[in-house]
Amino acid sequence: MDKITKQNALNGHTWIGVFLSVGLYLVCLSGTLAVFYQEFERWEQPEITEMQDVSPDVVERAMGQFMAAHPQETDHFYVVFPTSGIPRLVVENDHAAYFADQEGNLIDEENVKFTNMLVDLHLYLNLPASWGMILVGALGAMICGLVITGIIAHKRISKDAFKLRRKGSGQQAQTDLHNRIGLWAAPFHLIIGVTGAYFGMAGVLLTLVSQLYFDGDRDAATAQIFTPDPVLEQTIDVPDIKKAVDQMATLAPDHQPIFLAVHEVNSSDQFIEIFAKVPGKLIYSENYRFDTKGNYLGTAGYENGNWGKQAVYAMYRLHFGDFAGIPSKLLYFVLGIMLTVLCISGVEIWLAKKANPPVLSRLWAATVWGSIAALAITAIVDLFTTLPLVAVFWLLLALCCICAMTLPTMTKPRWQQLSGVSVIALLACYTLYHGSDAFNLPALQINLLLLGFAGWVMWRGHTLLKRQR
Amino acid sequence: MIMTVCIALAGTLLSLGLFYQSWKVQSLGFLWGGVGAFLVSVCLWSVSQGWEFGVVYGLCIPGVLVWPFILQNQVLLRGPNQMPTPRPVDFSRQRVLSHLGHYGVSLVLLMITSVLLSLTVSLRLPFTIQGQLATCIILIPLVWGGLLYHYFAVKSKPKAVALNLVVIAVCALCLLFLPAF
Repeated sequence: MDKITKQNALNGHTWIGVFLSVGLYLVCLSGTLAVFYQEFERWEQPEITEMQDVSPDVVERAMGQFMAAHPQETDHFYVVFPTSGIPRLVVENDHAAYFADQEGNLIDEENVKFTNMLVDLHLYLNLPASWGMILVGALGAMICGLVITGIIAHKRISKDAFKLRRKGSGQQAQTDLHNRIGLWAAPFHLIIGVTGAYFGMAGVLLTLVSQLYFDGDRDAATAQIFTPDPVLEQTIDVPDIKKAVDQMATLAPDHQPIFLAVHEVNSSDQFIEIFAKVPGKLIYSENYRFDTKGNYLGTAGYENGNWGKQAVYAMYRLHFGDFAGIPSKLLYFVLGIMLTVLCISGVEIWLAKKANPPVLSRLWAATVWGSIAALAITAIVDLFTTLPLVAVFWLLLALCCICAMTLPTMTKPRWQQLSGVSVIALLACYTLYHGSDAFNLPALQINLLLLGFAGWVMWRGHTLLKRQR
Repeated sequence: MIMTVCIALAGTLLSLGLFYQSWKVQSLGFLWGGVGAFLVSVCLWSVSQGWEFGVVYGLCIPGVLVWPFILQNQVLLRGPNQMPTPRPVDFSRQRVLSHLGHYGVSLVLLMITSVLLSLTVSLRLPFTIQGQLATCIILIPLVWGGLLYHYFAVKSKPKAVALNLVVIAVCALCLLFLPAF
């Protein structure tokens, strides 16, 4: 490719990377953490009883107690099984969710506000759901654009394929790191870009297709991909959850149940649907459907359905790396960190080319490291108050940006140290709040990661400060 | 299971080793060997984990396993003799407006173009409706990315915008008047 083509590609790459950097960074950071959203949910309530499996009797008892305690009107009931990825039993309706113990007795209310805030940050950037999802979907497409322009723009893609020149002014090191990650992890970036864009663009596409070919009927358009609800005419009764769960052992013995939903509660259309993970497949689940009396109606037909149906239904697991337990999550976490580093180093290369304008450099450092501090402090606030976490996070991030603009001493190493201190403060507050539960498995698997991060970032900040002196 | 995972991992490492060797001695033979080993490693992952997981592992794991090869080859540079003075950032009204225009084009106009173009193309493919919609969903971000490259590559932005508007008009006509499904 000639020089002009490469330069044009680099111009596009720079514009997308720099002018959408904050959104891309926040989505990548929160997405990397959200790989472990199930582990974060466990971390938020480490004291809850955990179990590997549950019998149909226990499920029925837990749901019976929940229905008696929460008689308010609802369209759905849900049971989340311990085989869902979170080894806990949860019963819920559209308004409340409770954990149950191994005997099916209700214990604590589910309270995972921080995890929800983190996942919402990734899915919508905490904006109103539909607009936020379209914007984040657009960022997925931007990642694809960055991969395409980045590969075209790379002047020495084969010559530098294994080079890493460290130290010096730091600019070459950043460039090498950026290019090596960008090249070798490109398949992952494309997977994330395409599947990420799906979440935002599916709604847009659905609206368009329904207007064009289904007289504006979104349900009819959706039914082309996602199996529609069965049409039933039954007498209204309490759903026989036990009978439905009981049959799973014979219907799909090797499929792990994720959750059970009772749809159209208290109507003649009421039916039970059990979502079960299909071994070896990326589709979210195969869904087993039962009528109110627990009689088996059939599956939703994803496991052996048309390839297009399977491809769309596989987007979720492919995006979040939630398909082979901890190994796939760890792979996605490491590659997610690399994608986040790619965002950071891209902007730092651009700043270095401008000889690091002080205010902009400080603002970027505040965004990168301040957002981690803001997340940690938001988690602390969640421990002790009922303040709205979205507002807390964004106010803290705004405060970081104001500090970066007004305080010249707040350079990158200071922000790194601040984020380290914030994470340590979170660990201290968490231990104080949860006591001995802060040392059980659900807590430790996140806390050890946080401790490792805090140690690394403090050391990094200290080293950079020493170098600056 | 562990055995097949180890064999697949070895296959990935072998392909990376061959790529590294081809880079070091600039040999085309090693490069093709690396490509072959890479394809075999994807097959090994597929045998070990099933083809759906296997393809993901086969494509993504090299991004992690390549680092020992890169680190083996790292060089330490000397510190700079002088630090350059920061260059001013242009915040002129014209520049700000031009960037706002780029936002509008890249986030809104190109989204419309890519959605309509992908749908028009995928509805002409000889697949079932599920296959056509799935192809469309996969095509949208890739087309959008390609259009981004085009928009920023062409010198005359108004011409690029005009071209997008023409594509939108043609696709809209196709979608409205040509039968689908």
